[in-house]
Amino acid sequence: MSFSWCLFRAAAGRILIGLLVLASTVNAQERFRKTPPLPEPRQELKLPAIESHVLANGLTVTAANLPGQGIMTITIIVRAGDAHSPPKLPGLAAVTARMVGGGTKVLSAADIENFIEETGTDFSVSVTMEHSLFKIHVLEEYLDRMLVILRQIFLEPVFTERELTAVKRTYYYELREKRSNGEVSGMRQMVRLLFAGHPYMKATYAEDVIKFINLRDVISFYSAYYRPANIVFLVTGNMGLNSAVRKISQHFNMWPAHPVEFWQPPPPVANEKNRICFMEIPMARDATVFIGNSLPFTASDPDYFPFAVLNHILGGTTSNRLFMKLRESKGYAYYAFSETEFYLAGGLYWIKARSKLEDVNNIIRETINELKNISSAGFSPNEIEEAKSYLIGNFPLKIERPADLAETLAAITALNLGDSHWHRAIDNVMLVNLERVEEVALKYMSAPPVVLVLGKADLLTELIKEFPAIEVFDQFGSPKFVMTKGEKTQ
Amino acid sequence: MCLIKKMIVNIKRGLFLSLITVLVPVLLVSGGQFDRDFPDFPVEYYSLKNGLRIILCSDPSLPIVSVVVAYGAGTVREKKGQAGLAYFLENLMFQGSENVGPLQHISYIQKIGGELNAQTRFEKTVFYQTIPSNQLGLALWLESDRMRSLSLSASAVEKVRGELIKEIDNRLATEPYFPSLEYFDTLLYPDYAYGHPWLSGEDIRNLTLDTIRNFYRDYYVPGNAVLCICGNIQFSKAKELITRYFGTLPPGPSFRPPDPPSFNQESDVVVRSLNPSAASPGFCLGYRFHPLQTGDYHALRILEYILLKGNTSRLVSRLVKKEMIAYSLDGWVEDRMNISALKIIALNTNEVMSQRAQRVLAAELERLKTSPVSENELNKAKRLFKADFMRQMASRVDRALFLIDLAWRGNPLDSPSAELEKYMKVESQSILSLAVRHFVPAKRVLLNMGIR
Repeated sequence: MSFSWCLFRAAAGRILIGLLVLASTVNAQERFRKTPPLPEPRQELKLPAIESHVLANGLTVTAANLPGQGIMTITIIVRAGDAHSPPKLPGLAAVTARMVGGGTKVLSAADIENFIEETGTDFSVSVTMEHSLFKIHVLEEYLDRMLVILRQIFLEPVFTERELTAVKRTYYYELREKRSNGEVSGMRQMVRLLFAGHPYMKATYAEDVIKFINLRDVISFYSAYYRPANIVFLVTGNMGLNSAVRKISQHFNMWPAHPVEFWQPPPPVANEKNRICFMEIPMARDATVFIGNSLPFTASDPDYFPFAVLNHILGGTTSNRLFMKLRESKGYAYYAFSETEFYLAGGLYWIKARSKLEDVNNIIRETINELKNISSAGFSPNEIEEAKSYLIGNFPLKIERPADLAETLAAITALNLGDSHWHRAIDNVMLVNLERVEEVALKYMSAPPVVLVLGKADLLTELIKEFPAIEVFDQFGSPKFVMTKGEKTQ
Repeated sequence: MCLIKKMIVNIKRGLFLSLITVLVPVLLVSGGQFDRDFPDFPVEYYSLKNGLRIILCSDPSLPIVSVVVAYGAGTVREKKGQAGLAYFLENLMFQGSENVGPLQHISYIQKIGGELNAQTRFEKTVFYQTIPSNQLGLALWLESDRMRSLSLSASAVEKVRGELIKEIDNRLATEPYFPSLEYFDTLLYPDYAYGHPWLSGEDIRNLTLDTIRNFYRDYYVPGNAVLCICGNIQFSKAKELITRYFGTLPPGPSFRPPDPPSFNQESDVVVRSLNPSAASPGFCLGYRFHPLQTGDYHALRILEYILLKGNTSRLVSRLVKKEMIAYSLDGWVEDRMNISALKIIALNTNEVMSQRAQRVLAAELERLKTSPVSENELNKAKRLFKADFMRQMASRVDRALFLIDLAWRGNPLDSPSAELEKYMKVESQSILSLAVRHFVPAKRVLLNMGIR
């Protein structure tokens, strides 16, 4: 072998080694990339105190002092919601709330709107099962002006036929638009099915009933429920309780006191039999499935936090059981989640999924199996800890925006929950353990849930292949007939 | 009218006047009163050697932090036959990378209580998460891993393709005006890159693995990205983590900025579409605001508020409240690179009302070209804008997105309040001038949305 060849070989060897080193540097990743980093120590969450004071006329002022927002939020909570409407006048609570702000003895609806918007204020009204909520987001510098307007609106309202016509018209079209949405219709029908015979069923009306409401009804509802002792002014933002009381009492002390009847509906009774229901949404391309039951306990019950952990495991996010199984693993659903809602007398849980028509039976079967698994202690300790970690970590995110903070505090105030859902909320989640989750699962998930499917009429053919009887409802939620295998019962 | 009735009317009028006299001084809002500033947040900008632009914004009020990564990989980068490619990549970014399994990014964030999402927009695709601030390292680890080593396997691509096709079906099922709104964009921006639909079932079906890989290779690189961290952070600690996770990533190829559009429209465009699953007819009206002069953009946003924001805005007040010829009216300013457009969408109870609403709307826009907006009306719009701006700034994610938008346009700012100030200085003459130049037929597109 010649010397030059040796040199060439040595040089080639060095180049090769160099290339190999280079290649390994390019391809190999730094070690820290292989595993996620450990978290830093958790930082303290400092929550403002929720403090309350009752004025002489019974009006409650509640404040949570949170400086540095630039925006103040006033939430006026009237303890009168859809469930308070008379049985023959569903929707009256919502129409009345929308009429408030529609004119006073000296200001027209247009004047009021002008005054509100001139200050950059956002004023909105929403009506829930048991409350009417007036939400006002106002720049700090215009709070005093806004209180003057609110005094006018609440203490000297004038209800006119003209305004009622306008409110009914807008509300009618809103409800009609919602009816074509499978999710909204489905949720309403679930409440109707689960709270049959209960005052909560009154919240399940469609647009067809709005025409029955007249001005006398509105005035009567307002007189009965818009009374100081039935109202809470919740103030969040750069203001403590003393200042809030001073400012609000200056305007609302003159509101005469009236006794208000304490309203406590009975707890709902859970569904005990297998029910498969169908509601037609003529233009729907897909099927929306709801599966759920009522819950005979309130958010102040010790079972609330274990149930929150349970609900999260079932379908709180896209990483949880139902989504992973029905969408990611089986490919049956576009989505699948579980949710809960609580009122003064109890609550409900429901699972919601959307799918193609041909996958509906699979979704129902898999979900019911999952509920059976859950009610028979099918949890791992790891799942419990992950669910708790989510609920604890997510808590500050729920109060980040002034509007979110106000909404959280409004729910706590409206449902009389107090500190157990505020300063002690994280501790309450931390205390949940495997045994408590298994206990509530057995207690509340063992009863057969109500199944409701929404979609085109073709779906009935699909459902009857799997289930012996289907209760069929019209698009307003009224029963039409029961379809049994091989026959139709009127 | 009988005498007694007249007297009652007069008494009422007198009472009304005296009460108004008492109330008005209290309620009147003095012009230009924007005295109380909202809290500012320290912001710092810098770049890594590989071109990754960084924005840090501190806010210690809650123990949370938002981490946002934006790539210059929006729909403008899609070529003909690729409608939906940018959105395809957005979805693939959750299908795993070298050290993170499929959908694990989501589960890592959700396990710690975080919330996350992504958006495909016109010029960029944005990924964001808000998490407990002690977990900042985790978010940076996850984002850097998918920036450097996304798994683009054939199976992942097919899985996402199937999901997107389902999503299109779902949107068609639940959003009756969805096809019309996509069609409207093609009319308003008659240039493929600017106006093509952001999601096309046919194109999604035909996209090849190579096309998808090339899109990732070309655009999902540090040199084409901005990282913004906003929340309870110490800048020095955050910088250390950023260098660790992103500092050694290669910058990626260089590429041309998107071509400017060429709109060839000489007179107004009026077209009709059919929406058989919709409950009501309606229309979409749009005006392109291009080219814009200095200060025009701020005037345009205030004009948006004058016309459309709040019940007392000109259009909502007249069409919805007073004349009741539209039962729903919405509108907004939209930006596609340096092209801004004002879009207005109305729903009406029937076709006759729809036509009437269009005539009234046209008259209102014409009025803006001849009569200056009053000082009171201008100030009202500014206050509404300010309140919305402050609500936006209250969220860390929204604040980060806002800072990224400004930086993307080459206008990084020291503080949000400095930007707000520009809107507060808009004068009525600027709005009149803007209306004269842009409310013209050659920039107008109208789509009638029929139901049969």
